[in-house]
Amino acid sequence: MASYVKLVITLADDSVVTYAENDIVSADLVEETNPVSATLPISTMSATIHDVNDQFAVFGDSGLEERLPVMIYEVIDGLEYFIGKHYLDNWEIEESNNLLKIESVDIIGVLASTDFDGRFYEDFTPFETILKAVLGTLEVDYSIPTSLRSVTLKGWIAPETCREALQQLCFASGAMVITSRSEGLMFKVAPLPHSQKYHELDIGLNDKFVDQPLSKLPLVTDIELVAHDYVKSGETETIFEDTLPVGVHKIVFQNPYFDVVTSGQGYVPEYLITHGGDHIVTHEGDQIEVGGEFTYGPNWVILNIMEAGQVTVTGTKWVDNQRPYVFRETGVGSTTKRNQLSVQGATLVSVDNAQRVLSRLRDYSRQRYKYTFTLVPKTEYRYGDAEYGDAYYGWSAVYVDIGQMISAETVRGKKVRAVIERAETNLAGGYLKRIVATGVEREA
Amino acid sequence: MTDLITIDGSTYDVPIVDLSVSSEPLDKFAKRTVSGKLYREMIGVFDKYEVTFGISNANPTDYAALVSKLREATPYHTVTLPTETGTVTASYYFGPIRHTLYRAKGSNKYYKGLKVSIIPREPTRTP
Repeated sequence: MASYVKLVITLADDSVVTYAENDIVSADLVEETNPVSATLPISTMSATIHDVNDQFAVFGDSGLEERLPVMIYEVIDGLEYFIGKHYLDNWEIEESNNLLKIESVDIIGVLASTDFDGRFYEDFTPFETILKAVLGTLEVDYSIPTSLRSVTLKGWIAPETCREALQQLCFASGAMVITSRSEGLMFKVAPLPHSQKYHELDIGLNDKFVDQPLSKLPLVTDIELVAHDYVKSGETETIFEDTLPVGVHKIVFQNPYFDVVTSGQGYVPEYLITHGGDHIVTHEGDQIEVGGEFTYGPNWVILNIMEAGQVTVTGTKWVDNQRPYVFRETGVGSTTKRNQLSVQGATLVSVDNAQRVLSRLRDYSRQRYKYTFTLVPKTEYRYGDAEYGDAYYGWSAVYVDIGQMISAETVRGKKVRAVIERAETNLAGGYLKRIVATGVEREA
Repeated sequence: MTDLITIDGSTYDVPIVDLSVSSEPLDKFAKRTVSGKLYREMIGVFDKYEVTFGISNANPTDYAALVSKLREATPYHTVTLPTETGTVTASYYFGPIRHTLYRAKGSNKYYKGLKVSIIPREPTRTP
């Protein structure tokens, strides 16, 4: 097997810089996912490049900037595999050694540095509609399976980052998000080996190298999930009150409100016009103002202040009625060490979906086997005679991906059915991929 | 003797008393499965030369020129070296160089034991 990594950076002027083979000293990729979206991990890549042509200079405009797309490929025995689309996050130029060090993140890393203004959903709203609101003006490709398209949610997403907002959406709807082998976001129904008895891939004992620790995670004894149901309050409260200077100001609400009213400066004025659309002016040439409107968004108001002055924004609050849903693991004795998982801030979890979300958390917490191993990059055969006759089929680690449900044979002859949650790949060192998968013991 | 080695196009009238070659494989990785089967991705095989030259008495001028060449602050040199079937010419760099002053008479100084490692910049053979 012969392998090398290829990185393609698209610069701001749309020109492309490609590094491959001997240009790249090292390149390490860490991909992660969480099946129940209890976290929304950022996948990262760090590479050291021997930049013999001094493509980028330290002084002046280096041509590099944050969020430039970095396409990652691995070439194995002459075949090019797309690994993922990243975005430049950090870089360092070591002129004395002609070294360029770059760090990149996946689209979730970009979402982590993008603000989301918050949004309240009074009525049940489809997954994709909420997703589009979270992504806002970012042009992000995504794929959603049919079963997730039919999921509807209601509730509140507070102003935070787009990553946190996306996590609220995924956690409440049972979606896992993958960014590997994709140019955007790939949503999947949360794979849970405890309750779903299937696997996509068999990994035999000799498909892995010797160092393969299998550990058992601590028992989760209790899970508390707080559901949030919002009801209209009868009291109006002041959301914002201040004297603002001239300029454009965006006031984002930190809580959900309805019947929002703004008074004072900041509306966009309307002027008296003729039927033909011409402005009617006074003898002095001034336009005649006949009122105006404030510019409201889903969770904000934009104030266009022409003269510094007082602004007051009032609204009626949606009151958050919280109700805890609790799961206690069976067979937990009085001497068992308590290990409680508590989820308080999942504000798209309501009484309508809380039990389903709690069941997912229960199943996930029951997946206590954590299996860590390094895959053989490529072997000569895979399934053997039984399934494919005398034919030989190549096995390549390039097809093993985070989020996949696997059945892996352990050293002691047992098997675990598990989800790959993390993959650390040495892209420049022979495509060695270290897997971390969590799951359950697979029945024979 | 000295036609055996050419450095950057020049040969030196200094005898060679010992020349050994070691061929060292370099892997990107080499790991074993539980069954003991080895998997490796080989980068290539590097033929490294260890050369010991004779004393400087015969041709002090060439000896000094050779030492000077070996000490040059040049990262890589084009070197022609003997193989079992002929010669190989490639880009090499030199490891640490050492020799010993064993006699001084008037302005004449006599050296012995000049040793150098000649290491290829790239693999001599690749898969």
